[in-house]
Amino acid sequence: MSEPILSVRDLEMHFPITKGAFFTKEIGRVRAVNGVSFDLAPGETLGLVGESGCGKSTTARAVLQLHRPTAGQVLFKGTDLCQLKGEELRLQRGDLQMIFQDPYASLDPRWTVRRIIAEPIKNFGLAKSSAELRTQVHELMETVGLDPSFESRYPHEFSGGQRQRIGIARALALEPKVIFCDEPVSALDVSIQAQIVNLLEELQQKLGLAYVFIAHDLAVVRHIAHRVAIMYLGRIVEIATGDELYQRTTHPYGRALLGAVPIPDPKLERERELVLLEGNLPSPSQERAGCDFASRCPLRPKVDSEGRCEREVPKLLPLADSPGHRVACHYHDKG
Amino acid sequence: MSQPVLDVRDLRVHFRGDDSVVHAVNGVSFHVNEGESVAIVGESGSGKSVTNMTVLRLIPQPPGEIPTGEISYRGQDLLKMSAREIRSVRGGKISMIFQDPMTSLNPFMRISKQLTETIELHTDLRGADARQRAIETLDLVGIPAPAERIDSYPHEFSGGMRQRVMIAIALSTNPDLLIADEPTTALDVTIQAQILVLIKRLQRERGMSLIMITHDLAVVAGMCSRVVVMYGGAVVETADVDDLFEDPRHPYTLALLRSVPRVDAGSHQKLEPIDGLPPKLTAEPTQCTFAPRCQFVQDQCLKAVPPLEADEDGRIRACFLKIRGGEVVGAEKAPAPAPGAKAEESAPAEVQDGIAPEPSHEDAEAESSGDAKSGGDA
Repeated sequence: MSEPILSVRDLEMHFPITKGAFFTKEIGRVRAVNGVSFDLAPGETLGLVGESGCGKSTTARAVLQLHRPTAGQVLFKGTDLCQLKGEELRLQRGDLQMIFQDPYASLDPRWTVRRIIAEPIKNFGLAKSSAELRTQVHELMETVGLDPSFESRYPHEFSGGQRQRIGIARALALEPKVIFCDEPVSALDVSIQAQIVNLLEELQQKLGLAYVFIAHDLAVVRHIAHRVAIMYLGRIVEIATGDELYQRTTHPYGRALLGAVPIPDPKLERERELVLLEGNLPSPSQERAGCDFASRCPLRPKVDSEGRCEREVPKLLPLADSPGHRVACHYHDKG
Repeated sequence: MSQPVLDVRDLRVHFRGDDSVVHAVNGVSFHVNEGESVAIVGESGSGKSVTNMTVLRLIPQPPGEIPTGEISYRGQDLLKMSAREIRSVRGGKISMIFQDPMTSLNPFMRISKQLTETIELHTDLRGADARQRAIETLDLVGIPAPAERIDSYPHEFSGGMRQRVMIAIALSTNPDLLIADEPTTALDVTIQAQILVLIKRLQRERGMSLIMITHDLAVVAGMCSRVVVMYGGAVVETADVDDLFEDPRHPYTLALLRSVPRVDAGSHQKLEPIDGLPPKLTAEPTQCTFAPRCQFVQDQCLKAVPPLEADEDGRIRACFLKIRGGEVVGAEKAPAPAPGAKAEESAPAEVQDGIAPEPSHEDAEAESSGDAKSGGDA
């Protein structure tokens, strides 16, 4: 892998739970992100998957400094974003953009498309004249497959897929290096979803963008991502290249998660063996010692006679025969 | 073949707005046999939810209108029943599970009350007996310690648990037809798998018939024996699940199957999106509603609505062309798509509509009102 453009190290994002109106007292913590590390190479797509509440969106927000992380480092081109403030941070943000899940809620309904796309360009003073600004907006609209003659329309005049294109044009306006896509296609119909996925792939090839692609739909992630990280309760439990991860899932949670995804083929579906997980995701505010997944793990009763899973947090370690594939499980070789 | 449990014939549902009529359902016919599980598949706005809401007479009138149609449940026409008669069927003999477990339960009522209300309305059980039945049903759907949890409020349950409560309410009266409207769309995959296994098991144990409304073809593949594909307020294809996935006969089904990413495919699978947008249905269709987005479109497709007919080998689809193995056979293949179809999504909705071009302002309104009324099958 080439030199990473973005390196995240031991990122933690804790939210305090407080009590009392005047003398507020911290009575607990929600450990939404609990020591996440990953690298992102230029032009690469890293998929981030997991159940709701596992901390994938919070990770994105903490990396972008939309929440200031509790601890950890976010190195972008050698600078630690967590140490920057005010103007210095603002200037870095042009290179790191985000596309949001809900194309109905992420665009101001009272702004025209032109104003929505032009705002970041104006904020960063990238256009010298209004004519230049207009040209830039038109170019962006063409890039994402929107007709520039619709620039004075409002978001409600567009369909969901078209709105998502507006959101993408806005994210591209500052020529970013990295885009965080937070469930960009979840709100769209299947036939439209494929249009947006293909657009994101085209843009990546043309502009050399790196994506962090957050989604709960594992089939879409498999399609778009070069590498995939599976999160569980604020930690990455397994990370590998897409093909390796889907063909040789090693963490017991990863296996249960991938095994739960239905396949659009009736014959395969009848043969498929389901690994059903018991129960729900534990609350991230609970104090936990040892492995987060221990309480639901189908593997633990068979292998853990010494109680190691309950005492010791497993580290994310590379597999002996495939160093790029890292797994956080004490007994991954016993499954 | 035994008499179907439910037989819907030529159903039409319109919604009248201030200055437009949305033709949400245009002559839909399908049936469900005893103990069968039928999937109704389609995109938002295809009319799948409106059709099934109409079965339970849940469409408010006005603005809804049902100009034609017959919905026969074990020989009785549900559309001709009085409000009192339909109440004895709805929630009793025919139950429904809604999409969103977060909003479908009353947040102010204890689970016990919401369950016993249904049981007391539809069975002879009262008081402590009804409560006992409620506890048994919660146990059946896999809620741990049901006797203690029954007096909880909905917010004390997680999403998957609330969906189980919804299923418990639907099953508490021993229905013989269950309509599940996107029952797992709001849930995580691991929870989705739990709920689907549960529905399948209960259906098998009780010999219940099932209508599963969904947009997710992967869920259909594992759950249902027959599939009804809807597009633009009409049925475009109906087939056994294996036939449908192996050899789709309608261009829309074909395109839909090609646009779905598969978790078991390599990362280099090419997704083929369906260009353009779904139709707006602000007028009675006069051509094939899929024609503006169809890769095989021909002149005849723009002149009349293709009827839902059987192919020579008995496969049922609404298309003028003969499609085998993903290709048009026996008919001349049109070289280029119809004008307007190529503009893809870049043109705003009204240009694409392919039915009745109207000024943009009104159109946008018609769209949003249509969306709202179709019952949130997004």
